[in-house]
Amino acid sequence: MMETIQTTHRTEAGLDSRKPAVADAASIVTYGHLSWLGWVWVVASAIYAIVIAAVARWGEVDHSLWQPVVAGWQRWVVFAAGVTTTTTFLRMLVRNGATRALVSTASTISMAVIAAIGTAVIVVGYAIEKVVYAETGWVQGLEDGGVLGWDDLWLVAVEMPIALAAYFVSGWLIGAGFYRFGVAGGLALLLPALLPAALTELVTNKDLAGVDLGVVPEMGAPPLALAAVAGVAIVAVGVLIARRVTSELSIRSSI
Amino acid sequence: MTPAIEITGLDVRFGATRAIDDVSLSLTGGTIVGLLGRNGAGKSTMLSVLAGFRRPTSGTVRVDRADPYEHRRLMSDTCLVRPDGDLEGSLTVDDALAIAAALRPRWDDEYAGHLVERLEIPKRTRVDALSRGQRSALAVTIGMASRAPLTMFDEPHLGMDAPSRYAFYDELLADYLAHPRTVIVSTHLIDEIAGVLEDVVILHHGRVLAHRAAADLQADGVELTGPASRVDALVGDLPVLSARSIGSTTSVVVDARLDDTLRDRAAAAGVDVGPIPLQDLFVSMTSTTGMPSKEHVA
Repeated sequence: MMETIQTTHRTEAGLDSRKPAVADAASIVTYGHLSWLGWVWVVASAIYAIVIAAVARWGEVDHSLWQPVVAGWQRWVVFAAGVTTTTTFLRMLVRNGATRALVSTASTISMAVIAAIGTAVIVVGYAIEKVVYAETGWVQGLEDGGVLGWDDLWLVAVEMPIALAAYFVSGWLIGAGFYRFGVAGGLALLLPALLPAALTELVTNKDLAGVDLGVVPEMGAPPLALAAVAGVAIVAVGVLIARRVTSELSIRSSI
Repeated sequence: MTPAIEITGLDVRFGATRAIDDVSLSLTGGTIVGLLGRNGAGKSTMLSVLAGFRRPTSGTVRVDRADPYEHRRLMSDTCLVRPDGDLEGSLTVDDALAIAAALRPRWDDEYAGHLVERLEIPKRTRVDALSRGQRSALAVTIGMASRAPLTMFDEPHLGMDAPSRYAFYDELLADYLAHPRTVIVSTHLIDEIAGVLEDVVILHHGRVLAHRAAADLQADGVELTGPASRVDALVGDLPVLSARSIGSTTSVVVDARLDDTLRDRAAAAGVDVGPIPLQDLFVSMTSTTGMPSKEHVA
């Protein structure tokens, strides 16, 4: 049979040696995340619009509705996206010839894109609400008793992507922990895996970018520059650990 | 590129279970190898190590002279199709194909379309809405159209109906001839694919029981078919590996080399002779009882 093979083969298929490329892998992961995150943001924004329209029609309000209805819980949605890095995308991409390192790089890029888009949604929401409230004479109060000013939007724009990225990393670590060590091991690693999110809560302004986890002591918000540097450092360390964990994961079959 | 494979002292353990036990093996590049073994023999584990899906516990694996684990070129040049297809259920068939097309360096879109049509896979259906056989067909399509220099199929036929399986075998051979590569097929449907295999590796309890050219392996036995009384007379004291009877016709597989003497005696007795079916040989070699199997279909 070998002789037959050697005399009848024609050509190798065309080869694109750039593949699998980081850009392609990152596009697949990001599209996969945004295909449902986008709907979450659209639906949440639509619910907010209905609530604000109802309030405008029948009453008035003295605090931001964007904060509790949309902005406040986005970190947990992004956290869920981080969990699927291992459970969904690792197997999908490695099965198609990607290394785990490439999956990690693609996931890191995807994390940055999601954090940027999520922040843009939140900032634009606050800005639109600010205009609406100014027109109606309502006060855009926040849960900590302060009032949102235009300058505060910069704070959100700087701190929110860091917070979202930190939650993504924590989700990534938790997903990898459960995937690698099963339920018992995953539960044991839950608290260490939550460290990126918890530490970022420490350094960001809780009422705008952070959320009170209940276990994080109130220390007051540090200066913005320090918060940004510390937050980025926390996320970077978290990503490095997640990459290291991911590099040792076996690609299991589901049956 | 038709990568050769060199495995030395490979061990893979899962806790106390030794899935692969000190396996050393050399596979020539550019062949279709059948990886045979009973359930739990270690076939899937070995393929996973070759694909870089998991690290071995000890030992070395070299594909094209390099360790495939996290090796960017080797992993992109390797495609392992597993029984579940590793397909994300929420994707449509089109999406699954598009992802493979985006990542596989040798992807052939036209050929993928041809396979989708031939294997009758509904393109706009979500993967989790496909039947078991359709999912297998999709996984096979991705495996074939990826044209990876090392392509491995682990029980690719699960749930596939007979026409689809034979279409797969046809396509595998034809595409292999057109685009030579190293192909490893792990399967329990041995007789169906036996004609395609050039080399055979039989794993048993995590060890290599046999590794030979398929034709050479099949020459270890002879199948004698004819009227029962004549076959029985011809068999005499030869060790019987398996026997089947359909009406008055008997087919007996014996452990013997097909030489001129046996051929002449068979011809004189009006008994047909042929090589041992690979599946019978496999059953005989891996039977836990060590006894020849007998199957009677009346």
